[in-house]
Amino acid sequence: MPARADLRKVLVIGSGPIVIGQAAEFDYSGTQACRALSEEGIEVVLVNSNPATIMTDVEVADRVYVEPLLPSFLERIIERERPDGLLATLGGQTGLNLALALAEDGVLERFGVELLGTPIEAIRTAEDREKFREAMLRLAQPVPPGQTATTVGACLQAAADIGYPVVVRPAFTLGGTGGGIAYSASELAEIAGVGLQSSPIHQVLIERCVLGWKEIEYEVMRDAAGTAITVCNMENIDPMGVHTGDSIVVAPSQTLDDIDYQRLRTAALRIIAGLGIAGGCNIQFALDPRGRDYYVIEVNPRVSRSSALASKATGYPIARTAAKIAVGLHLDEIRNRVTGATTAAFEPALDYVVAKIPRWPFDKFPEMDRRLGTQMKATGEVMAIGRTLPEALLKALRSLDGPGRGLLWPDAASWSETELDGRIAEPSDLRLFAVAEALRRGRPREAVAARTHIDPYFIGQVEEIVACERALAHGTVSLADAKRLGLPDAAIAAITGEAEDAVRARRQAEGIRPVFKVVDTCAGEFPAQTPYFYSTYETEDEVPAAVRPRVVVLGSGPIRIGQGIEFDYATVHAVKALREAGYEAVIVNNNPETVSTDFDISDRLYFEPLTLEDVLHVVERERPLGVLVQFGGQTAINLAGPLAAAGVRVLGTAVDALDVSEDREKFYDLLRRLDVPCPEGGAVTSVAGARGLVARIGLPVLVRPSYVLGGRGMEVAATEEAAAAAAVKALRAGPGYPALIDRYVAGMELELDAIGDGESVLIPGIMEHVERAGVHSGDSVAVFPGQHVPPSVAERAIEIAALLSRALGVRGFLNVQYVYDGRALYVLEANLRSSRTVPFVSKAVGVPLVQIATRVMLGDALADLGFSGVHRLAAPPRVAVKAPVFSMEKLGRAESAVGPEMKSTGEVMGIDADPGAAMLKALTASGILIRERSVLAALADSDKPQAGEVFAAFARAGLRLFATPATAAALRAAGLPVVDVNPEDPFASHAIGLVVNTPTRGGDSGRDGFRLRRQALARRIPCLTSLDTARALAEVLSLDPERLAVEPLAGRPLQ
Amino acid sequence: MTAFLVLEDGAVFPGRRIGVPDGGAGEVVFTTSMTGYQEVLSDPSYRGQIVTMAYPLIGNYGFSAEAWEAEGPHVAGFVVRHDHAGLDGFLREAEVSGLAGVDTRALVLHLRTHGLRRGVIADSPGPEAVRRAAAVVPPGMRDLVGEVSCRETRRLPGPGPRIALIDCGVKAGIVQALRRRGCEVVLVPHDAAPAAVEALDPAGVLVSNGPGDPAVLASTIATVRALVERVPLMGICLGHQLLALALGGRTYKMKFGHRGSNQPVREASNGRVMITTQNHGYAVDPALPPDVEITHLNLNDHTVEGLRHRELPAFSVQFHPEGRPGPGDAEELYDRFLAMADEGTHAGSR
Ligand SMILES: Nc1ncnc2c1ncn2[C@@H]1O[C@H](COP(=O)(O)OP(=O)(O)O)[C@@H](O)[C@H]1O
Ligand SMILES: Nc1ncnc2c1ncn2[C@@H]1O[C@H](COP(=O)(O)OP(=O)(O)O)[C@@H](O)[C@H]1O
Ligand SMILES: [Mg+2]
Ligand SMILES: [Mg+2]
Repeated sequence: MPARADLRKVLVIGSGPIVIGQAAEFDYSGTQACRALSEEGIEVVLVNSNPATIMTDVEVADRVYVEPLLPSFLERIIERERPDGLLATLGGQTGLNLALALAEDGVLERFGVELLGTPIEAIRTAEDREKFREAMLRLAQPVPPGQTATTVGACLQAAADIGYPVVVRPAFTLGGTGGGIAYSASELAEIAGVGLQSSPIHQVLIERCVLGWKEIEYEVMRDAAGTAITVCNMENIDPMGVHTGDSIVVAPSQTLDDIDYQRLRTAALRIIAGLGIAGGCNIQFALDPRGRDYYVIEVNPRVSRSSALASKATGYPIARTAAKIAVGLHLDEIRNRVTGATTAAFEPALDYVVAKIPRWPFDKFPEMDRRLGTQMKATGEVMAIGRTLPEALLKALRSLDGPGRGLLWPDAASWSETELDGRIAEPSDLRLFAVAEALRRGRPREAVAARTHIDPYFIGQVEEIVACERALAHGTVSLADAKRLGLPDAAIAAITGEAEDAVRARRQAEGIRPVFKVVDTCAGEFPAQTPYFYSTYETEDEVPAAVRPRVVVLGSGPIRIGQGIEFDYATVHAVKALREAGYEAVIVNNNPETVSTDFDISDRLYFEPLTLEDVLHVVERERPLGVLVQFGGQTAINLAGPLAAAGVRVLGTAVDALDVSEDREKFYDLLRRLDVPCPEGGAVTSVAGARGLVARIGLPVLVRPSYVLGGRGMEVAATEEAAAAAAVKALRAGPGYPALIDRYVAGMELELDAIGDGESVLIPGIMEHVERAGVHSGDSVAVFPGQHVPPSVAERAIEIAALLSRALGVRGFLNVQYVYDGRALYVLEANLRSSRTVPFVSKAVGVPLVQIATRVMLGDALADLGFSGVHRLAAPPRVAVKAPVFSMEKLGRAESAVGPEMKSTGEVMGIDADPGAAMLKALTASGILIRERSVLAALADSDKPQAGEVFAAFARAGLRLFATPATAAALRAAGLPVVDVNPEDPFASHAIGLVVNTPTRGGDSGRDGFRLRRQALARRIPCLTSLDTARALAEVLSLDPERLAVEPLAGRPLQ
Repeated sequence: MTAFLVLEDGAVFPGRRIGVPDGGAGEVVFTTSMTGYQEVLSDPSYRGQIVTMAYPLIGNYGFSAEAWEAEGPHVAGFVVRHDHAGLDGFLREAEVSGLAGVDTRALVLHLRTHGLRRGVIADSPGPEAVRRAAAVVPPGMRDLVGEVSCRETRRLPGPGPRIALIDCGVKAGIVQALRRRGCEVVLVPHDAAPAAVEALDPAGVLVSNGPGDPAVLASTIATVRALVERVPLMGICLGHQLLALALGGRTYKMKFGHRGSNQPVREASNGRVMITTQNHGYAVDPALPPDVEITHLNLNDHTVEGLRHRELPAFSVQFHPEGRPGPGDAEELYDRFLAMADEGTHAGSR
C-alpha cells in the first residue's frame, strides 16, 4: 500500500536543545524523517527550539517553527497549520512527552490531528514502568522482580521485599535521570527522593539489580502489516549497571551464540508486535552470562541514540524507514537506498565490527565524579568501524580526541596497584585504559574479567592489543602487523620511542597503507551504491574513481561541551555548498549521532577518526583540491597546521593566520600593531610573577592555563591572594605551561561572526550578551541584533572586524568577541573558523552564512555574491535571542553557576518581532518555567547594590520575594517586601518558583550557595546564577507566554 | 604458516593455515550469517564446499553441544578473516583445514561478481594449485547426498504422528523441530524405495535438505513422485527442489546462491515478509506445471522460495524454517505440515 493519500500535511516535533541523554541523534533522525515525508509528497511542518540543528533549516521542511517545545506553543502552531498528522516518535523523549500531553489535553482531537506511527497507548505502555511490567508479563516476557512506587516509603517497602541492591528507575525520563543503584535503605531513600521528583508522573520502578549481566540491545522495526525485522543488535562491553549511553558498545553482539542471539531476537519481535508499535523501537535485555536466563529491561518506542548508532553501524536508515511506515508504507515497499535493488524488509548483515565509545565531560569538570552508573553522563559519542575488534576499538579511542594514545593513558603507569584495582573494578571513563594497564602488568585475563564483569572475550581482545604493544617494544612484531591490528602511528611512536612522523615515513617506505571498504548492509551479497567507507589494513580497496574535483570537509567529532552540534550544522552546509558549486564533497567524521555522517549527505563519507594519520590516509586516497578546516570546530582547526606541514592544501584563511588567532601572544601583538585595545595581561610562570603582573595591570584579573581551550580552568580573581591562588591552580593544570593573566574588564560583552575574502567583509550583525563579560560566551544569553549597543560602538566593532579580517587575510569565517566597559571597546579573542553562533545568526538573519563562507574559501569574491566592501546586512524584521541549556542535574558534584568556563550542553532560540517576547520565548524554551509565582534570592555582596531594581521588577511581575538573611536585608533596604528564609533548607517551608543565586566563590561545595543550587536542581526549580540573566527575565515576566505569537522562519536564498 | 586459497580462475587469497595442515578442496561459497559458525561447519548441505564466513570474527563464543547440526563438520574447508582462539583447535579435532587472516570481503565480492568457483587451500599459490582447483570434482558429478544420507532406517521414538524423513543430509534442527512437536521421526536413506517408505505407514513424509545438484538424484525424485500421490509431504531446501522436480518442474544452478540468515521471503497468501535462513546453490525454475502454485518468493531476487500442489497435500520451502543458524520466523510451517498430515490420516481413515 502506498503512502496514505489522506495525509497532506504532517507536523514533526524535534527534540529541542542538546542535553545529556538527548543529543544530535535527533537532529539526524528528524532531518531524515522530514526528507522521507517530503519524498512522499507530504507537506512538512517542523517545530524545534534548537537553532543549531540542520532540521530547523528552512530547506528541510515546508515550514519551520523555532518556538518553545511546550504544549501551549504547539497548540498554537497546530491551530495555525491544521496538520492532518503528528509525528512525535522522532523527537526523543521530548517529542513523546509532548505528544502525550497534547493527546491528554484533547488538543489532537480538537483539531483533528492523528498521531502517526506508534499509537499513544503503546507509548504509554512502554514509558510507564508499571504498565510496561504488566505488558511484559502478558507477553510472557521475563522482567526483573520489582515494583513501581510513587512514595519513598513504598520504595523502601519494595526494596525490603526484593532485597538489596536495588535499581531505581524513574518513569518517562531519559538518560537514566534520577535513577541509581541503592545498596542500603538510607541510599535508597536519597536516590528514590530525587528519582520521584525527576519523573513527570512521580513514579519510579524499584527493581532487582542484575549488576554484571550482559546488556544487549536490539533495534527493531515493524510496519502496519505486521512485518517485523531487527536492524541489528548491540552488545554493551560494560555490563548491566552502566547506562547504555555511557557504555562502550559493539555491534553486532560478539559473545552471543546463535541460540541466545535468536532467543532475544524472537523476544524482541514478540514485544514490538505485542505493543503494537508501527515504526522503530529499541529493546534492552539483560542476559545472564552464566546461563540462558534473560530479562527485558526496557523498550524505547521511538528512534533513539541507539537507533542512530545502529543506522550508522549498518547503513540501514531507521528514522527514514520509521517515517515512511508512519505514513502507511510497508517495509517491502521502501527501497534500500544502499543496494538500490533490495527493500527495507531485510536484516543487515555486517562484514565488519563497530565500536562506540562515549565522550564524557570530565575534562571540563575535574571536580566531577568520574564513576559511571545508571545515570548517563556522556555528552556525545564516537563510532569506529574495523574488520577486527582491536582495530575498531583503537580507532574509536583516537576519535575521542583525548590524551590517550591507543590504550596508553598518560599516567597509567604511575597508578599504584590499589589505585589500578579500583579503576578496573569501578566503571569510569578510564576503565578501558585501566584494564589494558592491568594486563600490561601481567594480571591474568580471567582475573580482570572477574573483577570487571566484562566478558573474558573482550578482555582477550584488549590483551591482543597489549601483547602487540609488548612485541613492538621487543621488536618482535612487524610494523605491518602492528598496523593491521590497528595501532595508530602515535601509539607505535610512543612505544618505540620514535617520532610519529618517523613511523609514518617508515610505513610509506614499506608501502604500508590502509585500503577502504564499503558499508553496504549486506556483507557484499549485492553491489552497493553508497559511498560510505572505512579504512582497514586488507588487500582490496573499493573506492571508485571520482569524476569531479573533490574537496574534503573535516567534521568536528563527538559532541562535547564547547564543541557541539553547531559544528555539524556548519559541516553539512559546507557540503551543500560544495555540491552546488560542482565539487564532490568528501566528509571525514566519526560521530554516529550526526546528520553529517548520514551517507546520503555527502558524495563520499569516510567514517574515520579525525587525527592527522587518518585524515592523511583519506587525502592520499582522494587527492582532493584541498581540505576545509573551518567548520569542524577546534578539532578541525587543530589539524590545519599538521596537514599543511604534510603538504596538504588547506583552503581558505592561511594556516599561519590561523596560528596567530590561536596563539594569544601573537594575537595580542597583532592587536597592538593595529592599535586595537585588548585587556592588559601577560603570561606568568611563577606565583611571584603573577603577583608582579597583577600589581601592574590591577584587579580584578582573569586567570587561566595557557594551553587549554573552551575557557577551561578560567577564574576571575578580585583580590591579589585569589589571583595568586588561581595562578598556582592554572600552573598546576598545565605543568610546563605558563598561566595567562588578563585584566578582567567588566562590561557588556559583544560578539560578531563575519565572513572575509581578503578584500570585502560581510557582517550579518552584532550580538549582545545579556550577561556581563565573565560569563562564557557559550553560556550567556545573546540577543541578535544587539538592542543596547551604542551605534558608535557597533561601528567600532565592525571596523575592528574589518581590520582583523584584512590584517589576517581572512578567507572564510571570523568570529570576534569584545567587551565594552562604557569607555573603550576591547577585543577578547578572535576565532578564524565557523563559531558556535553561526547557525543561530544564520537563522536570525535568514542567510546561509556557511554556504557563503564555503564559496569564498573556494575562491569566489564576496563582491560576486553581492556583498562588497564592508557589507553589513540589514537588521532582520524579528529579534532573535539565544539562551543556553545546561545538563547540570546529570553532572553530580559539578559547580552549576555560570562563569568564564563554558558549561552548557545546548541552546535554544526565541524569535519574535518584539524583543521582550523573543527573550521570554528563549528563556522559557531553555527550561526556565516558573511554576510558583515566587522567587528566592541569595546574592553575592557584589550584586546586592543592583539587586533592588531587579527584584522590584520581579515584584511588579507578581512574584513573592524570598531571600536569605543578608540578601533580604539588602532588598528591604531597597524598600521591597521580602520574607526571610533559612538558607539550610528554604524549600521545605516555602513554595519557590525561581531561584536567583549569584555565587561569591564558585565550585566550593561547602558553601550554602552551592548547596542551594544543587537543591534547586534536584527539585527542578530554575536557578539563575547571574543577576543579569535575572534582570532580563524580570523585565519580560509581565508578558503572558500564552499570548505570544508563533511564526515560521523566513529564509533568504543565496543569490 | 602462510597458505593460500587458490581458485580455478587463478585468483589467489593469502592467509594463515588453521585446522589440519593439508586438504581443503571444493566449491568455494560464502555465508553472511553473523552467528552460528558451528552450525554452519556441521550443516551437511555444505558437503564438498569450502565455506567463507563473510562476518570477520569467528570463534568468539566458543563451541557447544547444542550447536551441532550433525555428528561432525561437513565443510571441505573453512575460510575466515579472524579466528578466535579455539577455532584452530576445533578444526584440527574435526579434521577440517582452514585459512584465517583472509580478506574475506575481497573473496566474497569475487565470488559475487564471477560466480562460485572451485578452489583449494594450498601452501603455494602457483599454477599447480590452480590446476588442482580446476580438477576438483564439480558438485553435480559427485554423489554428495550419498555421502551424508543415513545408511539404514533409524527410528526416533515420539508420542505423536509418525513422520518419515527422507534423509538427504538432514540438519539436526529439522529433526528437533519435529520431535519438539511430539512426532515419531523415522529417518530413511535418500535412495529408499517408495514401498519401503509407505511400509512405515507414515502420517507424513518430510524430504530434507542436503548438498549438491537435485537434478542428479533420479531415485529420490522417483520416490518423491510416487509418495506425493499418497502421503502428505513437505520438502525443505534440497527437498523443495526435489518436490519441484517430482512434480514436473525444473531446477537450475544459481550464480552464487543464497547462504545466510537474512533472506527476506514474501508469502503470497498474506503479503507478510519473514526473514529466513538459507543455504542453497540451486533454485526452482518459476515455470511450473499448472497444478503447482508458487507460495513464497524471495524479496531480493524474486526466486521461488516455496510451492504447493493445488490438489495434493504437498508443499515445500527453499529456506530453513528452523533457522539454526538464523531466525525461526517460519517455524510454524512445521505445524502446518503436521496439520496437513493429521487431515491426511483422517481422510485416509474415511
Ligand atoms: N534491573 C537492573 N539491574 C541492573 N542495572 C539496571 C537494571 N535496570 C536498568 N539498569 C541499568 O540502568 C541503565 C539505565 O536504565 P534505563 O531505565 O534504561 O534508563 P533510560 O530509560 O534512561 O534508558 C540501563 O542501561 C542499565 O545499565
Ligand atoms: N579580560 C577579560 N575580561 C572580562 N571577561 C573576559 C576576559 N577574557 C575572557 N573573558 C570572559 O571569558 C569568556 C571566555 O573567554 P574566551 O577567551 O572567549 O575563552 P574561549 O576560548 O573558551 O572562548 C569570554 O566569553 C568572556 O566572557
Ligand atoms: Mg528509556
Ligand atoms: Mg535505557
